[in-house]
Amino acid sequence: MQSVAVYGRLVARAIVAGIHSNGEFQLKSPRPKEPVHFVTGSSGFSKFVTKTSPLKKWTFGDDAYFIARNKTSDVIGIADGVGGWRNYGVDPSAFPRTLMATCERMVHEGRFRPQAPASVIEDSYQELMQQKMPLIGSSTACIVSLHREERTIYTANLGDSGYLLIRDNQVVHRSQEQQHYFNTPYQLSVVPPSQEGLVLSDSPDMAESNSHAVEEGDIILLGTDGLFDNMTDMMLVEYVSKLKDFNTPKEEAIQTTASNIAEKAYQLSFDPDYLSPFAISAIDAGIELTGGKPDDITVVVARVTNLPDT
Amino acid sequence: MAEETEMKCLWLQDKTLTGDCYVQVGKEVVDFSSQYGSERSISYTASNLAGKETIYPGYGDYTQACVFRTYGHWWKLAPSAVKKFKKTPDDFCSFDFIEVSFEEKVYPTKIEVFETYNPGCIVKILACDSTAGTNVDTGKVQWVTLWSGQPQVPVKEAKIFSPPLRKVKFMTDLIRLEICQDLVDYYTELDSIRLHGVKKHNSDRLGIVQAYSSGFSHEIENGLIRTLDCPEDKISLALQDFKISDEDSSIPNVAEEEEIEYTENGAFNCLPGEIIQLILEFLDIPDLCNLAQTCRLLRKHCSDSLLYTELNLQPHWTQIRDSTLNSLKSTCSCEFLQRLNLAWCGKGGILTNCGLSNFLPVCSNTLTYIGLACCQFVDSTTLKIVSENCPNIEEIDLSCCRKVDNVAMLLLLKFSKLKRLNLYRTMVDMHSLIAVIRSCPLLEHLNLGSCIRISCFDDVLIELGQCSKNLLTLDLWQARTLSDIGLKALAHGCPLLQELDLGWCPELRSRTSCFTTLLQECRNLRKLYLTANRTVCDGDLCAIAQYCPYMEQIDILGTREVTPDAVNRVLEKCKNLKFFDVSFCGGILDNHVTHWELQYPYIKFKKSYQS
Repeated sequence: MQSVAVYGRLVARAIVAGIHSNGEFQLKSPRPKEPVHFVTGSSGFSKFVTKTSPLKKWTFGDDAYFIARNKTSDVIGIADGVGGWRNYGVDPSAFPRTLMATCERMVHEGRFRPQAPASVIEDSYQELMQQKMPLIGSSTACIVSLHREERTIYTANLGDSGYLLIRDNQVVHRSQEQQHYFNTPYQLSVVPPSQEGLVLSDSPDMAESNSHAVEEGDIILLGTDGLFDNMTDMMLVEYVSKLKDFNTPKEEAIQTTASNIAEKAYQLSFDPDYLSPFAISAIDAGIELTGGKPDDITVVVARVTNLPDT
Repeated sequence: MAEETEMKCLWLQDKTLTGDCYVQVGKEVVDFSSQYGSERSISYTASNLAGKETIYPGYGDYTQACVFRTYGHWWKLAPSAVKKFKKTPDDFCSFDFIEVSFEEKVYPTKIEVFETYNPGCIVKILACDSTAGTNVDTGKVQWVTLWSGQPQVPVKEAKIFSPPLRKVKFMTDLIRLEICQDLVDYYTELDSIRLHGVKKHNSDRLGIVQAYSSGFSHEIENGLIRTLDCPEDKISLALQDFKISDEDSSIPNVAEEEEIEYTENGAFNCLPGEIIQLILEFLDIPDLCNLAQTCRLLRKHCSDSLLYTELNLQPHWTQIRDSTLNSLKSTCSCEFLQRLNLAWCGKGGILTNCGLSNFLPVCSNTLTYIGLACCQFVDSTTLKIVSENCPNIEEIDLSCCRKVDNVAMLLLLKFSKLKRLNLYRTMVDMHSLIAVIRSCPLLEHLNLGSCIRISCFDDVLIELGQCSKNLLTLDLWQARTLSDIGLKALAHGCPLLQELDLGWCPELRSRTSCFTTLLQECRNLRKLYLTANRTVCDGDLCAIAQYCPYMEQIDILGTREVTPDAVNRVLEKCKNLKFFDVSFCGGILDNHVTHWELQYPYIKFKKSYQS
């Protein structure tokens, strides 16, 4: 039930955002190539279904994400909190949630260059230390920013969350997982004084940056490791390809795709017999393991769409 | 059509059009007197007042809010407090200000300020008329008070503050709020500001405006333009009159004047001059100016130089022009002036270095204090003028003078008697500051809060430890580069230290024992702020209890390493304690605080919260 409520809100948000960009289009002088924007849908599950606390905005368990726009760009970010902090009496979702909320503020307030999404991770990370509330935790982070006029996405990724760029049912680009060792991604951390030097803490400038020109109809799929550890790229492409059935896929269709992917990933994560991508890399690392990987799952699907004229 | 309207609204971004009334949110914060957050941050900074509301109707201590540097009366109780000025008008209570610009110029009809934490602190709202007058003497801008009042007794809920505004006859896109946080328990936080206004006057409105404006337009008399922005601010007019009539009587000689006194002043003649002087001591500057126009006897008394040992012109900042200083110089005999406060003056270029250089020679030998906080014109030339004219300056306040840089600092080298130096939010760099510290061995009070150009605070503190043996108070708020090396050097070198603000110095680590060293060496400490130092632990609090019996104010906001037991120990040992901020300390719960409040009713405990 709860998930349904989430979808409803997100759809509303996407629609509002769509109208907003209409307005901005009016301002721009005609260009040979028309600007594009994102039409997005998002979904996810918390690993602890039973323990569902009152749903916090834009989070699934210890995952957090945001979708934001400013004058020049559409920006999506996802972050996956490191659950180990629970053992220290720290809420592991606080760190990624605050990190994403800060990134979102940076985008809205124009303290953001669409071409340099890595710097928004860096700046937001610095900003976390400027809060009165002592924040402790670790998180991965992945930001995709679409420069509407340049028709280019700029990405920054730290850790094992990531994105796929899908064009004509082919994965054109896939972000690289950054891991120290098996199941231990690169992560941004703020640690308590007693743990300083003992806990992994990677610098925000370790983020891998990339850029790709995009076309109308391209799909960008962002997910946390809960998604990519349970579903192969091929499965994801299959889901996304169903969008082809619509000539001009609406928000609802994209939202449904995101929901379907999240649900499938969630089912698979609890399937003990399924040879998941996670199990395969475990075996590669010399660990005998089968089945899915129960984890928080976040999926954001974004379709690159021409801005409608008038 | 509907769509078109919608487009227009979106195009205007944060502006909506209802009828002929524009509603806009703040575009940009263009000036302010202080802020809690650091210069490049977006947390607790003044700039957060611009844009739409992000917290309202929420209530609490949020990062997205606009927060000023201080609140309450704690500042005034600290060892660094500046002595209150005589002759400050009773109704002047503004302590901070913030100015916000808007996209479109309108005739303001309504202003809404979203207050999301400890509301009730706005005491004045002003609008800028940037097209007023074209005369070089009076400047191009003037500020008009739209509303003023006293601070409200705070309530614990989010509020939209929207007082009735005085109608004005000009369009404005710049609004100034003045803040007084005397009554609040904790920082006031502002979320957003909305300006409602119209582009055109309709005839009704115009009628009201004219009625209002008749009292304060430009009057030309004796070739002098007198500009008044509202009836209650009469200083310029009064001073001008003072001067004009002086010229009329072509400076009467003393004998002549005395003769007149004894024949025409009735009962006043019976009063000894000393008594009259004593009474006049209680009047502020505009009152004195008015009184001086009543009769020659009182004029003589009003211009007695002993009345002008202190001049606080901050409350009259909208009125202080070069010409005002000139009038003051010629009429109010300022030759015994010791303390001059020009804080906030000089907006829109109405007060300049030229005016200051004309005025200062009058009081060149006596002046010991000059306050120039938030004076935009202050630069190296200003300091050159001050240093050439006033060799005996002991206290100088340059806070928020954004043009004060390394060049300007080198002009401070001449002030060898300097005891107090406030450099909050200036652009000083490390080398010039070290040079000044070396040349001012008597330094007692130093404020280096939010000085972003200082590249290595350790070197500065090492120098202070060596040269400033008399140092009593030091403000290092947001000293990002300060480490235990600097702090230890300071502790060893400045044993008299009474007040130290180490808020938001993230590189200080408790495990280097820098805090315990400080407490061991500086046992006279009365105020210690360790705000947002995440490493402050029980050991540090125990050191306070053990070494610093005179402690009055402690702030340990935002550490998770402190337990109630350690706080208890401080409470038992520090009998003078008045203030203890334990906000966002993970180990200290509300019920601990409630318990302490009952046990120690004379101590104010602070525990801020987000929601």
